[in-house]
Amino acid sequence: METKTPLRPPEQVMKLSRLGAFHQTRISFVRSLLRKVMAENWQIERTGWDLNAGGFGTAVYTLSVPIQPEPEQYSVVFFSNDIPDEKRTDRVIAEEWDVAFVLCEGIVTEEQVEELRANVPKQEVGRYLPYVLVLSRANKSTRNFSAVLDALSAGKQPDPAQLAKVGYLYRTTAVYGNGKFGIADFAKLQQTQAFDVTFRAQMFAVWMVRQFSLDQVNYLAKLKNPSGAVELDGEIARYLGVGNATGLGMAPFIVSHPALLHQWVNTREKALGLVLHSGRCSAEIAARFETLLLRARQHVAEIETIHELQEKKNRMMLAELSDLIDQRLPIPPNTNWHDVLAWVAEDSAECQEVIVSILLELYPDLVNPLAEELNCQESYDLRPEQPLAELKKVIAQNYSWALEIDFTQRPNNQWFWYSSADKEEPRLGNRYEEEGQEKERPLTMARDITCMFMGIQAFLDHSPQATVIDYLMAHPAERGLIRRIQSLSEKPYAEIQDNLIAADCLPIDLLRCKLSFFGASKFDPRSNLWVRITLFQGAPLVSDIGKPFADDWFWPVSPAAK
Amino acid sequence: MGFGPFVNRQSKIVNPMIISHNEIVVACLKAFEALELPLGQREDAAEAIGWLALHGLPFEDQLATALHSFQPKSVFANPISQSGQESVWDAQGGSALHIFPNLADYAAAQARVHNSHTLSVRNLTDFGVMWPYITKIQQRQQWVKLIWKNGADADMVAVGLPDSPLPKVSWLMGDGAERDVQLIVAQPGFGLGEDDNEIGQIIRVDSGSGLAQNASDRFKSGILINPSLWQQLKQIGLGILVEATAESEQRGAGGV
Repeated sequence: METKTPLRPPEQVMKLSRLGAFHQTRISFVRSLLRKVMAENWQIERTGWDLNAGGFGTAVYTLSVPIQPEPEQYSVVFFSNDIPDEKRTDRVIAEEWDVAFVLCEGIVTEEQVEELRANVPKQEVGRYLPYVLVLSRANKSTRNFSAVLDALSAGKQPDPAQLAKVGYLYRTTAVYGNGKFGIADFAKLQQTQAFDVTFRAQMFAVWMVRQFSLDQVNYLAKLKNPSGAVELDGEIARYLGVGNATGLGMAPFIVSHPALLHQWVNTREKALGLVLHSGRCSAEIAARFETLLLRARQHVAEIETIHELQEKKNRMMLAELSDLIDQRLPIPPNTNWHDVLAWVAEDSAECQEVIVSILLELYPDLVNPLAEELNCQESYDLRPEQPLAELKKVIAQNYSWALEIDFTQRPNNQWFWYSSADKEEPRLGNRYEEEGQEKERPLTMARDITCMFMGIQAFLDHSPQATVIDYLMAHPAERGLIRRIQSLSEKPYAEIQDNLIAADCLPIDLLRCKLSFFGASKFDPRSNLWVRITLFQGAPLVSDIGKPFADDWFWPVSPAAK
Repeated sequence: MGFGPFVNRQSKIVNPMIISHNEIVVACLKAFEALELPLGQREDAAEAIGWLALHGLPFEDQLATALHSFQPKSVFANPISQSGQESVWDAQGGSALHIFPNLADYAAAQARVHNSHTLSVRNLTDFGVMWPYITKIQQRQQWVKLIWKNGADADMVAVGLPDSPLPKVSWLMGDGAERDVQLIVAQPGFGLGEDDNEIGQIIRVDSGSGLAQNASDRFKSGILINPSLWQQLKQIGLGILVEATAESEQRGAGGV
């Protein structure tokens, strides 16, 4: 369906402060995954449970996706380990984890399980074959896990108020796909029906560790008090998601995959455009808007974070949502959604993006199909015959935001991104105080383009008819940058329009952007460099497959608040 | 360094290890960066190696030679003669990884203006990695033919048709004559067909569809590689890492 509503301009959307205010939407990967699981009635069975009294050992779940002519079959294998507390860290440099797990093609044999047992707990240091599709690991939220276990074994449900603070039992710290360490390339998954959309396999594996965490805590409670323990109540179990700790490693991804970033953001903006153009506000939709807005406010009120700036943003968002509720609800039928966006035009980006997410939520028929448009065949090709003067115009137009930055000013050149020899952990260094900038990672787009622009101008001064290849034959090292600029010239949402090496750059904004597309909520930055989030909070359980499904787990609120 | 006809590289590897396409591309990216190949060129080079590996073509000898003999400072090819339809270049012993992408694009650009261009390159090393570049040209809807000497007695001809995804690669019994690497690019209608191989007797053909099947198989089962070459590649790639310090561990990534 064509939208006649112009999309929001990249100068607005692609600023880091805006990208760092994105919330999950119904086209986020977790949402589209579970719609598919529920609609297609995926059959998931726990076929192996070999845990000891401490909850350590091996568990296997099998998945059968009922398609014709033959179902697709998969396995998820968990290795739960007893690790000392001092070894438990969310950092890339960790060497042991509470649980290590894989999603595999087919039903795993005993031989494969033994092969996996020898490697999966080692994670990056292990080697894998292409029947492994996803490799991951998670650590317990020990306090939460213990609290839930104590409650269940005492015959009680855990305190929902406690779960509102930390809404998960386990927290993943890396989820690998696409060929890492020998596992299957994404191209192989594209030949499946279950996992042919980007990151779908990874999200499924994370959903399954959530199931494992619930099964494990129920199991241990029963062991602790066979006659008196209870299982987690369904509503509370659904409120428990999976945590995730994400650090700098994710940040370079959206810089080095700009065509993919454009695809994601453009699809999101297209969804908004569709709603603004075609979304009629019936009485039912108006009531739904009210419900979601009230729920959003409650959800935001339940977010806890130690990060001072995020806490300030959350309080402001809360105040703005409250003002909106007090002043504008109930909205009448036939309300124009452009007007609703205008109501919040002067509010914070966080508040505005809440409204964007709600608008997308209101029209499943319009928006859901767009979730299948998030793949991108990335190809960055050079156009050598392009007149150099034309390239210069493209740069002046598309990268004006970069050309305005004065890189002679120290704060504009402060950071360098690098990979540490310590397990290749990505880190941020201060150029004026630390060694290593000669090995800087290529997140210096703005600076490099500014520098090249001056070189192009000088080249054109003596060769005004030059083509791009003429310039490249004299400056071969700039091939990558020119190819990038040319390939992205028609992709307005490809480039983050901010200087990623500036003193005031917040890497957590980069992380949040990508995580919002995953479907993350409860953003809790622990510093400017890493963030904890929750995935699948409020999501259906495996036991909900086959039952009526409302796809309404957006902005989950604590059961205590209901 | 070349490779002879009918070489099934997979079967000659002793205790091979299995890697993914993404792994070899990323490992090459890191290694070529450590060898000071600039961004853009190292991406092209890594993709070229990955392409050869994925399509079941010999890549290990080329990669091993490139890693061993790569001279990062030999950046340019010097023109010996240039006209709209022909040019001759001296690569001065430089690696195709470094030089060929820009030369190939130069030929393609000239062909757009003059309908065809024949580019000859002398003294080029690692030319076995050039094949993947012609797929980019053919995908830009130009006819392309690449000819190079493959060892003492064999020649290689790769022909790509416009708007086709993959070239047809012929292995030929060579005539022993010395030969420049030659790249011919032409606009549609000015090139020849896929079967234009005038050099000698064809001893093997890898068709586009055969290459595509190889790629599909390797996505399913992985790519075989000599473990010592893989270790060498990974070792070189460590050169992009910055030495860790206690301070950088504390302040560089958070998690404190």
